[in-house]
Amino acid sequence: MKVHFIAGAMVLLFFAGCKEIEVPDMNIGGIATADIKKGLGLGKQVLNAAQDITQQEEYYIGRSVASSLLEKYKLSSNQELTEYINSVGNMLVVNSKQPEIFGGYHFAVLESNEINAFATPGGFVFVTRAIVKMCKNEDELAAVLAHEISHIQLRHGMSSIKDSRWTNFATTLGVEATKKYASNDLIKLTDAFGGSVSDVVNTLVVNGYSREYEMSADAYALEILSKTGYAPTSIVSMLEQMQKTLADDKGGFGTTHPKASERVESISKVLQKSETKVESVRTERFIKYSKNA
Amino acid sequence: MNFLKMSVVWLFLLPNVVSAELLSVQVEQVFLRDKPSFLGKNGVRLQYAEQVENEKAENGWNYVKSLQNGSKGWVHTSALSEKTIVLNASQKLSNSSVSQSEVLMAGKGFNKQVETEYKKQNSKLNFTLVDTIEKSNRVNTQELIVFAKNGKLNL
Repeated sequence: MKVHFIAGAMVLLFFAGCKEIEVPDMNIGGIATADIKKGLGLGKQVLNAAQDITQQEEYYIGRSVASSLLEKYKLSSNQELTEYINSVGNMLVVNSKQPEIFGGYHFAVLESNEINAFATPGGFVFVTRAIVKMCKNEDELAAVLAHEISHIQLRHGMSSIKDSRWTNFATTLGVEATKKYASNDLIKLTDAFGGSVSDVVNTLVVNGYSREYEMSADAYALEILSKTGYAPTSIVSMLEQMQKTLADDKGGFGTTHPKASERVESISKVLQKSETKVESVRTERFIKYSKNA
Repeated sequence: MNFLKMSVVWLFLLPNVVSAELLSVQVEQVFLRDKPSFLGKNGVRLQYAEQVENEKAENGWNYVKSLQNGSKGWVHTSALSEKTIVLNASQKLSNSSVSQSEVLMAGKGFNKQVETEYKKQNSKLNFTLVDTIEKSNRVNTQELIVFAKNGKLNL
């Protein structure tokens, strides 16, 4: 009996020891983990710092990026429009692959005549009054928001943080984390934090994402729109509308995004035939809430 | 013969023992729901870093049991992490069976303390507005159900 027990226990231990921890392929802080796995020679400590960034840390970066954007743009006090945009945004979020995020998703309107939209790491989405006015219906507004949600979930903001920040971050953090940092470490960490926030803000406001990132955000937005029940073709009509409106615009969205015509061409390749149409009930409520935008 | 019998018994017991997969809540808070959908009724609230036992998974949802109070319900997979989230260093040290790669330190690196220091250095930044957006720009499930129904959308 004792022998049998040991034999059984050995079988059990064998299976229990088979648990495999797999590092997912992703791109954080400009570091592609797939490339790292192939051994491109980046320091292990830097790799760990970039990989192990928690949702909580992304949330704190996002709060500071949002705060920087609110220094440049005035927050709209139009409560009805803000609530409406949060409803559209959350409809898209619950139909996306990552509906849960550390601090939740929050959508806000900026008082600006510049056609633009921003998404910060950690779930803050901003749309300008001008981009709301540019849209002709709720489905086009949803296309704008779905594109921004895609940037968050594909972690494009975090990817814009320079590698050097992670080096400083990893050096300061060391092996063990503490509840409260000593002043020396706190200064170094705050420098790395401030630098990371600047990298994201510069990408959002000045440099823009790469063409590849924009196209991948469009493709994922298409999936979210479709799953939510919005007309997927609305992303094309929104971009065409943007192309017309931005023809004379020298700043904002036009400088940080690829040409709308290029995006239409790219999205048309993956746009499948869909029966979903723009429902008049949605257009009516869009007109109601956006008339004072 | 006896060996064979015992092996069969062990093989039946095996899934129950090995399948006790532990997951950690990686969002600030999340509710257990009574069905795998955002239409599901909210139950007990789980907090950041709380550990749950995964009982089954389907369509992006996990049916879990809270280790803290035994409550059961559905949570969206995106709210859970396979890594153990440790609230403080001493907790991590006490559990030597967990390797470094399986652990995330809560509150490490960019945290509230770093944000406070950053605020001091950048006094022009208005975090009060960010707090307002976080507190007020929320939509509850009931409002979303009505919004979806009126707009002929899927939830």
